[in-house]
Amino acid sequence: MQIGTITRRMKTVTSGMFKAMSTRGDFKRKLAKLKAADPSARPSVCAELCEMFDALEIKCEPDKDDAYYEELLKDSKFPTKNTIEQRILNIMYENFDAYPTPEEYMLRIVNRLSDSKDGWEEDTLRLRILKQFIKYGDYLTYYRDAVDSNGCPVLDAKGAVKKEKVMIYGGEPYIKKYAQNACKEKIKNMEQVLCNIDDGIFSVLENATKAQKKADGTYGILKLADDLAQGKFKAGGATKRELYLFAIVFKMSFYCGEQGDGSKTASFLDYESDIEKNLFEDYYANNLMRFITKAYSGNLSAFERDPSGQGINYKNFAEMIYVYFLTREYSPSEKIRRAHEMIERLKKKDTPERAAVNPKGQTLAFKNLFTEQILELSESEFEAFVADNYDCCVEFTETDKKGKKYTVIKGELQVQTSQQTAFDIYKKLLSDMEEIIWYDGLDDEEFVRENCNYGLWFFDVSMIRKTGGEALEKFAQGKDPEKVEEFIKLLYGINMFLGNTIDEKKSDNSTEQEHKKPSVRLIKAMSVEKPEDMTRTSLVTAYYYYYNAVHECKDSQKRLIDVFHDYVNPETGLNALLAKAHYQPISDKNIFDMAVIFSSYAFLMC
Amino acid sequence: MNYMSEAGSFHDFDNTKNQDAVMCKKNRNYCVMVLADGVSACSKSGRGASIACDAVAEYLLRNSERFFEMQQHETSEHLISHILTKLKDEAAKNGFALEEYSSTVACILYNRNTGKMLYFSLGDSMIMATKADGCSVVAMPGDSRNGCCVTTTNNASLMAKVGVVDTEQINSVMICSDGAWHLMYNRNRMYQSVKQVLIEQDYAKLKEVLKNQERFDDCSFISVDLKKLQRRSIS
Repeated sequence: MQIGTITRRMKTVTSGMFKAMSTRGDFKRKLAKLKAADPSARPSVCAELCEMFDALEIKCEPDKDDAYYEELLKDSKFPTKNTIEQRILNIMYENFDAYPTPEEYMLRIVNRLSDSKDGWEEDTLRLRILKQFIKYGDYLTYYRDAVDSNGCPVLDAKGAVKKEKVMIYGGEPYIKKYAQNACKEKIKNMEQVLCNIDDGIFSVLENATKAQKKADGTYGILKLADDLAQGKFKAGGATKRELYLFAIVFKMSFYCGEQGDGSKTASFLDYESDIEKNLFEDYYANNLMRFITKAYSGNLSAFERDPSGQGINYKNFAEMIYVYFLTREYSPSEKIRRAHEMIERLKKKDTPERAAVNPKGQTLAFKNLFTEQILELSESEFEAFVADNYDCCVEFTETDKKGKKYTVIKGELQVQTSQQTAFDIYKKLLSDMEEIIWYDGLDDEEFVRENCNYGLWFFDVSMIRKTGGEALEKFAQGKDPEKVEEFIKLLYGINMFLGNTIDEKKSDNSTEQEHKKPSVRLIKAMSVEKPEDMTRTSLVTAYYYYYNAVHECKDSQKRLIDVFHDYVNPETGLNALLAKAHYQPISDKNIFDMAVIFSSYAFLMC
Repeated sequence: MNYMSEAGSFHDFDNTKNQDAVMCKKNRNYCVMVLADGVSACSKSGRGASIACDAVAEYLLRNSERFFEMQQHETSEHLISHILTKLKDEAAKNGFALEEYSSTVACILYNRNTGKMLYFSLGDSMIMATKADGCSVVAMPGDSRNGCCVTTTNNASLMAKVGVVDTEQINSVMICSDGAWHLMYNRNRMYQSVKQVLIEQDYAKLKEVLKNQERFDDCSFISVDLKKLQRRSIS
């Protein structure tokens, strides 16, 4: 009965943060409970009260009489409207490094799903991932029948069809050479390779060229293991393929959910190995803690800034093929081979008429289409199903500015990426926002999307640059400078999605002399124009501005916990919208989500 | 009724016995089937599992009609509070902490006249049904990533799975401990070979399949043929 480390840690952090934001009213209620408690319940209520005082750094002794606590309450200072921003900043600073990074999530997945008989527990995370790819994915290579340019089989001297090797990822020769150098004898089998490679094998990546680090490059598979271990999400959808290959070699599971007709099947949701819960929700979510990891340090533009947050894209034919083979009873390397070959066969086909499928291309329709019965189809039946129902086209004709047509070939995981359902919800939220504000009797002109760019309310990111760091001096006093720097980096990261981080320079003007008009620069999250650009972060951001606008001036008495409950309410809160859009719900393990809630609270209080 | 309960190799290290318990009881109108899986880290969990089985079987049979009229949360609260009462008595009598008697519990209560079946599952056991053309999960194992929910967990009743199903299409029902279903499944998908054995209701073969595999955890299942129990069809 062990609680998982990450979850246990986050439960403590979240409850600690809520306690630290307790108001005088909260204390009064707890004190009343203490007075009413019978002798057997008194110690536990008293301990809760002391914890609340501790969270506010007020020295409190247990097992005292009621008068002691009453006196303590009378003498204590609580957050006021003026101090609330500073307190939020301090609480976030004290707790931010407890939030799990993608690397920690990856370690948890690898620990859970590795076969203990392999005995790789002492290896580094990236080496464990690499070994898994080697042993269970056969170096991410496979053999196929060789064909000539006319598509005819190539035969050997004995008349048998020749086999040719297909490299999904390069690196096998280098790995074998490394192992051979380490053991100083000729490598005869894979077991020898696995026993003789160590973390030093990754040192070549430091000086490798871009070409060598590409998927089919000399060190492709090394780069893959390294990226996955550090949670480096590449732009352009490349990470998606890496995640599916990872899921296959670690034998992750997939669950369709209950069937539309209410019938049940023999499969179930295995929380420990489920690809959506573990890989897409926890690991590949927009976990902003990555902004402070070494992997992202000074290297932001090379990586995907904002994963869509949707997990499996049920409209994409290649993802459905990977998922189908994930559920088959084959070895991982066989799954990879069959999936790869089916994708290659299908992506050459023309776009089908998709009359049977929702004409708007709603993700929900595709999700409902992909049932347990589909997973039970034979491979040929499944291939026909995909060809009939999915748009497998990866070639597109586009026109340049001069009217000249040209062909674009996209990666198979980069097609059909629009999120119509989420986009519709987002658009409705924006239109509701404008209508509700108008109906509320506020000046219509006051509320325009262009004004929704103030970002984090409890911290002005632009001020740091503007005042050359002076604004931070008070905050940083007595704190670890390195930790402060990391924290500010994280706040920058959060504000990059939530608001307009203006690169202001240090100004000689006084506050009175400065330009007072609010910025009207529309931020990306409030101006999504097509379903392809929709992300979870945009929906969360839009809701943040909606919530602040609706509750402004009315709900300054709300406690932090009330704001949290408003957000997670499954009927009326942000969680209702996230669920409809197939995004993961608000999570107290996600620092972006928590920062948004804190910021809303600060907005209402001030 | 068919059942199997075998100790896992885990007990070779700590010299304890099989900590799973199974039970099936019936009267004229109802049949109850229970499986409890003792928490291996708790010293009295085998005894706790056995008490939980007894308590649930006796309580369900005694109040069977009422249970079919209850709301889901009421069923859950009644069952868990009854189990806890019995466990607390035992713990107090022997001077052990209540937690030492922790176990999971999964059970079904079958109405032999109407064909309705009430199910309840707390923890990572699985209740599954076999039909003529396949198998289906009635109650899936709970989320045990943050620790498995057991009889002594705070607010356990909120985490139990409870429901009533019509068994018209169902031939038999089976409850499996996690040690058993782990051997029947490849992660979350049942092996085709096992599925076939279940559809054919060949329990001798199933026992052979389970016994021939390496078993770290205790491995138990209990199954009843609903068609044979049904009084409606006999009349």
